[in-house]
Amino acid sequence: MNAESPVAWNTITRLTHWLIAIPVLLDFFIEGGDLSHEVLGYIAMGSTVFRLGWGFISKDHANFASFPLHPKKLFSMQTVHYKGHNPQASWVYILMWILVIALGVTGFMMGLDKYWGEDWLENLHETFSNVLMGLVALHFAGLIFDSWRFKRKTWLGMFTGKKS
Amino acid sequence: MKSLFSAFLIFASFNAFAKVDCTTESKDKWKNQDAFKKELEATYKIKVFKVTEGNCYEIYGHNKEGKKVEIYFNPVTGEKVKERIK
Repeated sequence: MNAESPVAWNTITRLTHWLIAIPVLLDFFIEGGDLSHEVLGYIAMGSTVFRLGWGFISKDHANFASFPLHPKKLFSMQTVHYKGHNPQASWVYILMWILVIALGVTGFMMGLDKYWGEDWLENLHETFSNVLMGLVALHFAGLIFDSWRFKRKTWLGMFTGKKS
Repeated sequence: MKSLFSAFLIFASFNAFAKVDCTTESKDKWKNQDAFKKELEATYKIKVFKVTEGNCYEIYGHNKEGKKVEIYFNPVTGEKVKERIK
């Protein structure tokens, strides 16, 4: 992990990001219950499960071992720029992945005879999706902040793999 | 940077959860709920009956073939607005 090495995120990590992000965004606008909503939801959940596995086998910053998760770091102002995720981002992404899986599970349950038409489940599913969108907003805010603070193009990380 | 920010604004301004709209008529023109339910029970086994935000009567239940259905009705005319069969 050479500090000068320009690539922060490799192809697999980036591809996984988009295979989660695009279906999640589309699903927010496609009415629940439509087949396309379900298919996209399962793509997002499958990609998330893959990402979680990738977090254990990846040899770079995508590995959970390189997520700075210590709670102390979460509430301290960032003074160094991280080549991988910073502490706040690490927590946000882990929460996002948990929510995508929770959405997949509750979405699946909604189709079962037992829970067909149950309001509490639908509300739970919607609440999860709203929380997830809140985290998406934080994700964007973080990207903008990091780009400004460190005068780099952080968002390029998910397109070209390089942050500047 | 600017484009990233505006992309986010456009995205954030969308209204979540496209919903089904059934009528703009006032509630006094709507069919009586219990009577309408009885009418439907000839064809469907109703599990949940509700009035939606989009001014529909909506049921979750099973049709005669035993398939799960979700149907939105116009509460004034009783016509099906949207039906989903699983």
